[in-house]
Amino acid sequence: MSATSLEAAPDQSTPPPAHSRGRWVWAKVPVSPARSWTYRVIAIVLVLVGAGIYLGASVHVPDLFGAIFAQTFTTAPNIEELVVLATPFFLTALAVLIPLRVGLWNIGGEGQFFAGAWLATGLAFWLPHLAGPVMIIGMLLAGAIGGAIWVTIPMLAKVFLNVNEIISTLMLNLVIVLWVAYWLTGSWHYQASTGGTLESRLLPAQSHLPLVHLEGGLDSGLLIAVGITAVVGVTLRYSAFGYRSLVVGAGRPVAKFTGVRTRRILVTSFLLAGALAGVAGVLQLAGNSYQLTPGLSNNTGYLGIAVAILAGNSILGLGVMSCLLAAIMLIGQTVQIYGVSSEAVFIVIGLLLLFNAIGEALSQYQLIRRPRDAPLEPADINVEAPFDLLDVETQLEISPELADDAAFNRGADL
Amino acid sequence: MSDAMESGSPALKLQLRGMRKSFGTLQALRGVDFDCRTHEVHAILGENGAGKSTLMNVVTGLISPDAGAMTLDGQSYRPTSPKLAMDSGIGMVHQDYQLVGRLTVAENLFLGWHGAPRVANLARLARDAETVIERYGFRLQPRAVVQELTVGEQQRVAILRALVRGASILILDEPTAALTPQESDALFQIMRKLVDDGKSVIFITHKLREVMEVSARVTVLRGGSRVGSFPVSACDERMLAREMLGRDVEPLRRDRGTQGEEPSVTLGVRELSVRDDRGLLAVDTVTFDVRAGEIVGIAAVAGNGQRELSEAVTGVRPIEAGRVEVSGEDLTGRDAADFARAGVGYIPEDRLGAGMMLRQSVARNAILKALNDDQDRARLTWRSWVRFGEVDRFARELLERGQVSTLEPKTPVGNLSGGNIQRLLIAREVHAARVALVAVHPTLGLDVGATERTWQTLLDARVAGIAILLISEDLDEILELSDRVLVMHSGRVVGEVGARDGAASRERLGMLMGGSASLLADADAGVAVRP
Repeated sequence: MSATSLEAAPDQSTPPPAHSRGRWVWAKVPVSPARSWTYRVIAIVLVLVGAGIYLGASVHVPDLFGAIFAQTFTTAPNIEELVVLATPFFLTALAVLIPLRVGLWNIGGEGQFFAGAWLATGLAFWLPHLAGPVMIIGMLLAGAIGGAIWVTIPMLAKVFLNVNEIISTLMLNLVIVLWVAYWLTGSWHYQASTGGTLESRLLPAQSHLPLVHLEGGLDSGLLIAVGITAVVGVTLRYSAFGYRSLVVGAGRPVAKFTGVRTRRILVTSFLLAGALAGVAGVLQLAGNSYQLTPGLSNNTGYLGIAVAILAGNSILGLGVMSCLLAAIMLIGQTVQIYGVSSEAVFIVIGLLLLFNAIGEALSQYQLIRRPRDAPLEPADINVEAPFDLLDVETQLEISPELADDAAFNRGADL
Repeated sequence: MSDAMESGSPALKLQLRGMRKSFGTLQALRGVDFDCRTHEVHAILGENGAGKSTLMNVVTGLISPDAGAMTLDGQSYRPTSPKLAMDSGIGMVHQDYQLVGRLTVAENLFLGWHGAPRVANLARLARDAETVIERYGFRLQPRAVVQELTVGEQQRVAILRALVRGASILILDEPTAALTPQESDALFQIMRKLVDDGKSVIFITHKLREVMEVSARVTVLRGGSRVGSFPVSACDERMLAREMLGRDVEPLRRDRGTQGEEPSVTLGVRELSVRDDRGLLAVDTVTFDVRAGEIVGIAAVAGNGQRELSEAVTGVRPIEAGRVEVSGEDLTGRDAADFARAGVGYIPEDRLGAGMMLRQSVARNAILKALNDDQDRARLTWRSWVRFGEVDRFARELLERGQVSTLEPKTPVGNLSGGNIQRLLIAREVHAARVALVAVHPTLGLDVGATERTWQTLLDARVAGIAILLISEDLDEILELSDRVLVMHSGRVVGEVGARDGAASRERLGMLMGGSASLLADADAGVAVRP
């Protein structure tokens, strides 16, 4: 699509026929972080501008964007809300990013989040008399353990039976929600809740995270999340474990060639990821809602996947993208006043991921003009005839068994 | 050499004058002249990038030159497409033969040719194929499925396909690259027969020995220019090498270190059996030693277990039965990290897939092995942290030692050229090889200069007392470097050949590689054949 429009673009006033000047091809260019980030930013800007145009066309309010901006970002409580929303993303995104380094997808951040929150709730209810700091540290540890336990199941299945971790982690998300619902209808049920709403009793007061700014809702969870993110970031970048996880992520042949203990790295990565998602659950529980509900996560686990993808393996990018997603969600809440569906937020996030993927692919190529008779480089994609590169041999390639069959049949014919 | 030389004035077949071609700023051809006569095998000799392929692509109509004129049989010749070149009688056999593996020989011969029968069944095609196969005296079954043929047979199909289409000039691009010596000899006979029949053969190569053996004249290209055309009878290998490289070939230094007593066994392989990825026995009860300061070559046609052997003696592939010892220590069942710790370096066949992390920086790739080596780890790490400043220095040392074009450790390895990646890998593995080095095709894909340097590096390592196991399909390389050569066939060591017996050992190697061990077993006392 973009190719044809670009082909028509160069000065049409002096039209030498295109074939005399060569043909447009996508030529592979060396990867560089700067290039990849440029395309990523372009992708994000395109989606946001597109969303703005849609918004402007469908909502008729004078100075719409000024109003949205004023209602979302100008006051201190608004900014604090943004930060509070962004806080759990840091950790659930790390829970995706760390396994991704070793080449595995953790789609179970949502489940590990609940597993952590559940175990921490249990601690607060079972040992309600612990002193404040002990209680909070205990709950954070319980969250980490809960998340780690929940990821252990798919991790063992992956490491020992090579079960696809994408499916197993995703499916276990559904299981943990039912497990939590069981407890919320049972012994933790909040008797005062109206109309049979599923929610737990409120946690004891000493289990609440201290607020750092009393006027707004800014709790110390942000500091904990940023601290953990920084420590994990430094560890991944500078430790031998971080290096070895890159070796494992480079593929089985490299890992075998190097003699890295692949299983050990996979286990550690998964446990770390589960623990971090579990801690995210505790931060949300103890810093924000003070009770366990099935809506506690507000999709934080899934949105962490989006943040991790948009961040592209960069800890700094992870911070920025967490705030971007939080801002989009806040704006989504604001524009609901004007009758825009709450689903619009997910449409925008979906488009962000799609455009980001396109940008990522494009960042590896450059549209250049090659002389018509110059041979195509192996990595070139010929815009005019994209199927040039598929040679006959490749198209005919079939499995050895089928080939044997074919040979057998031919013999039978003769 | 053909009788063309004696017949006085053989007809001029193809003439090129002042061919120029540039791609962007790269001048691939800078005014090249070239003549080819009938009854002549004409070799084109040059390093990678000398312009051999570009010149032939001009002749076959794949690319059009910027300047220059061509005549064919005295007529002006301007091919605008490969089809036109083919109709004019110019046939090319590429390095990959571009055959359809699932089809039969007969089908491949006639596929896509306008002269093929309009309505055809396999019986008809096979009959026609039989006729042409007989005419040229090739040994081929018209109904054999191409993918089941040997490489040499597939090449014959490709040659015959060009001949069927009426080629009077046959261009062969590096035709011996994948052949055993016997297959090469058979190919040379075909070439001689073709020129006797009045064809011209243009033979692109960088192997001096083959130029001397089969061609009547040779044109040497260097950096896109013609250095000269010479009758082969007036050439010797040394002179051709000088013309091709533009400098004298430095003789390899192969002085031994001072050695008193018999050197100890460094790499010991005892009745080793290994399975391949499909679970078949790829290495079958193999036993040999490599001593300190010794290069043992393993010669084998691809797929005879040498790859699995190399992986088993470096801990990359699990061992089915038998033992592997390094410096007397039994490392059977240990992984690659343990072998690296014991001082075994490994240049694997799959350099890009297994030996390097292409998306990561040069620095991160430089320490791939070093973190397993106690000495290097002490330098490069502090507790469980990597000291990246020191890693950068370490990477720069390797880049310098390997003469890699970049000296920037932050560059992703995937951005380097294949030759540079290989030089980096060789430098890293030679550094890691404190007691033994396993090198698989170490110079595959390198140009002549880099090959020389790599050979010298290996010989220097040998002098330093490293035990080297050299696995290569290039017999010249094996014979040039090895002290002893073991031949593998179907997973077994079928013989051992001394490497310093010249042509005799080459011939024996070829027969053993082809699997004719039983023929040799009694006939030749010079070859030790294991049962």
